Amino acid sequence: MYAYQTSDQSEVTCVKCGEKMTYGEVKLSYLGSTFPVSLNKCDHCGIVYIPEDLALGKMAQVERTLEDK
Amino acid sequence: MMNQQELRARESLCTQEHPPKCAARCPVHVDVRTMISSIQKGDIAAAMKVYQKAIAFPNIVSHLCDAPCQSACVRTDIDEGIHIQQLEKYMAQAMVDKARGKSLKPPSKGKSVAVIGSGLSGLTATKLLGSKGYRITIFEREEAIGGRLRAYDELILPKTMLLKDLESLAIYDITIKTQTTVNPSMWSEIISTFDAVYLDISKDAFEACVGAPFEAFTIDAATLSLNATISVSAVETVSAELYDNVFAGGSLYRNGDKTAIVDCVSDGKMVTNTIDRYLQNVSLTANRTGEGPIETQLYTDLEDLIPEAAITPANFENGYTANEAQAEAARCLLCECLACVKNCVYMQHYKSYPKRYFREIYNNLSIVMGIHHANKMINTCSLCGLCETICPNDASMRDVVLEARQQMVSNDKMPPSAHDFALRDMAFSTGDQFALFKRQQGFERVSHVFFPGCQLSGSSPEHILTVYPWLCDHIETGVGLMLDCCGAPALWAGRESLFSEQMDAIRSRWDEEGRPVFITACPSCMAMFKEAIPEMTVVMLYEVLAAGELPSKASKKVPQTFAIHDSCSTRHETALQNAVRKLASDQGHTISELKFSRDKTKCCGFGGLMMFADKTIANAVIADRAAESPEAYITYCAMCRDNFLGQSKPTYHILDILFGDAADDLTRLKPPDFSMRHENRAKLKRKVLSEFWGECVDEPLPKVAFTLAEGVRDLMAERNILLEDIEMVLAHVKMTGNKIWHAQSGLFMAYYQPSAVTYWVAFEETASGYHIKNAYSHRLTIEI
Ligand code: SF4
Ligand code: SF4
Ligand code: SF4
Ligand SMILES: [Zn+2]
Repeated sequence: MYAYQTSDQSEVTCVKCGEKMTYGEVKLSYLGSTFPVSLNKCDHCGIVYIPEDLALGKMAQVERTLEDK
Repeated sequence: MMNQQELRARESLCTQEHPPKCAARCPVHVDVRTMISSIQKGDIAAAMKVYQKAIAFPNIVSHLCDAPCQSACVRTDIDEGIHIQQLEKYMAQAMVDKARGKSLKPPSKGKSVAVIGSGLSGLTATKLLGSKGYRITIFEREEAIGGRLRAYDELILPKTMLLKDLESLAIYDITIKTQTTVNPSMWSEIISTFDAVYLDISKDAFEACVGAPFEAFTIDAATLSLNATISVSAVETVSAELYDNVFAGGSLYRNGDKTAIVDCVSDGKMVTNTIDRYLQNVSLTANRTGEGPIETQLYTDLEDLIPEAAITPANFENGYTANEAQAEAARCLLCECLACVKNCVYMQHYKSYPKRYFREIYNNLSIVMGIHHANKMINTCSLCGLCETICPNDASMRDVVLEARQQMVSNDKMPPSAHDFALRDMAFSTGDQFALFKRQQGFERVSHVFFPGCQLSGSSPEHILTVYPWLCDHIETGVGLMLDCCGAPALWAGRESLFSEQMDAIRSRWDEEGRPVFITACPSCMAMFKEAIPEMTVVMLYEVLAAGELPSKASKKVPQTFAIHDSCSTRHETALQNAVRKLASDQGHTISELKFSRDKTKCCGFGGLMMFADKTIANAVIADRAAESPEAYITYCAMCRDNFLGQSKPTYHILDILFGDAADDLTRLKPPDFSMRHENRAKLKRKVLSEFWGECVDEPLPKVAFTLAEGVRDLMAERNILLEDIEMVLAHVKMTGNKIWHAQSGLFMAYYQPSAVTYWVAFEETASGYHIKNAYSHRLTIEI
């Protein structure tokens, strides 16, 4: 499982469940590929947090690679 | 899909790789361009190396060459061909005392060749065959080798030069028999003991040697094989079959003593090729191209060339000084085509030219497994068609690129991110919020339909409110109004079926309405209609306006000078181009023409959805075009105007000039973003319905109220996020209560994936609603 690097180290809380979110396995998929990564999520309802630098950096890069495959 | 053969045919249209005229004419194809480019850089040793590659005896030939290259040089059309031979002589003199790379003795091939006669042709063959490891014996009737080379005046060919070159033979396996005149009995022995024979002697000497008339033979120009034509068996010593291994060239079959020096060199090279093939037992003729002078289709643009006289050496016998050589070399254009590339920022970015691009695209389409490196390149061409207009052979990037995109779509290999956003914009325009068709109030049938296009509607809806009633007043037989998108984004994105779906819808409406004349205000719409519905009569609004009397609202602007930016999709529509110029000059304005105008116009950066595939290149394209003239521009496409305005280039749509408010200076500071375009289109629809048809449509209430913090709107535009995307995320928050508290920033965060893209919003909750502080998106899907 891949742990994406992010500079966003803030505490994040799922407001609905009132639970502090913690790192755990999340599946991301695109164009038929699915792979597990470690991201902040709410153990209770499954809501996930993706920081901006991840979305615009590493994840965008992965998107481009998958699109060119 | 394009097959190998089509690829070749396309590649052959781009002649960039053809040799320059000088090198093509040179029978041994000295790479003059590379050579002179080295002289220009002051690297004479490198220049000499290039020269030596083609010329076995550079010191001799540089002094004597007849230089057919010079009269072939493209500069002869303007002033005078480059004095290439003078440059070569200069190089030889400059380098004569410098040590050059030593050649090594090649391993012996164990076969022997007799060379009879040692003029330049025989010597060239000797040296070249020697360097391939053949054992050579020269038969020369004079007391030294060199033939007529020895007879030159010291002023023309200094002895040092001659000797220096002859010395270079020393390392090869060469036996020299001087003062040896070959007679028929020696001849029969030579042809039976040597593996091959090359004859480089005069006609008289030939007959004395062979013992038969020269007329009894022919020499094959492509191989220099000597063939007996009539039965020569009458001559006892000669039998036709024995001549298999005999080759002849040089002055013998050319021009005797007057044979050009470089033709002798050429024959020496050619016979080397032939003898080498013969001794290795392979075909003498297969795959032999490019020997001797050849044709070339290389195109050199001489348009802006200023005539400059050739440099003559101040001291003719000594030849060029270093400075003179530099000056003459500087006149060489280092011919290459790249005519299209020089005028296309996109092709410059990828650092190549159509021939290579065609191959790259073909390869990209052929990949089954692996990374498609050319995807982005394929998706970035603006399809503007300038390259094919400039190219002397009409090589077209647009055709190849468009086909490739269609192929990628049908193979499911098109990166979704390339065109999604543009296609969403199109979907908005073809959807309920904008699309509309109405006949003019009080008409059962209309002879004309006004089709303003989605981009003008999204950017300058006010003009449609002015123009439509004017058209109704001027065309008595009724004018309908159709708000829609022509489908250009689908065509450019390679989505053939989506494009034809849209065109079919427009076509059937047009049919139902009795095939009215379409009047469009957008050049791209015009191009799409002409391509997809050729039987439709389409005219552009500007032609109609130019022919009629302008509405009273026509503004009285202070006369000024404008440059016209023509649209690339209508580069061949001269009448339209004239109409726009007439409209502007009728208002008292002066037109200054851009260098690239009318059929040579450049794209504004929107064509082919370039700006969605690669914003950086698109911005460079816009900047390049905007810088072409210091004057303000007039366009007749809203997108063109908006792109220039986006880079602060003062630009007006021709409708701004005609109908814009006299009060403002027409230059809007900022073009609308796509959210604004959507809003403008939706508003326009409601406006025309109420103003022209008295139908009241309520403005839809926003699902969620929200405001944007400063800078967020620009950020969203940059990231292709629309207001409606934000609204959907917030509606989702409202419905589910799903949101995250981000302690560090003190903001809530929420995300939602309406279809392909997941949108993230960071916000505060206030009494009046949501206040948005940030937005971003990604395409990877979060699996629950
Ligand atoms: S104009 Fe462009 S496509 Fe045409 S021959 Fe020259 S380099 Fe090739
Ligand atoms: S300008 Fe230079 S490269 Fe072009 S034909 Fe003349 S010598 Fe050759
Ligand atoms: S952008 Fe225009 S000029 Fe450049 S390659 Fe594409 S069609 Fe040709
Ligand atoms: Zn939860």
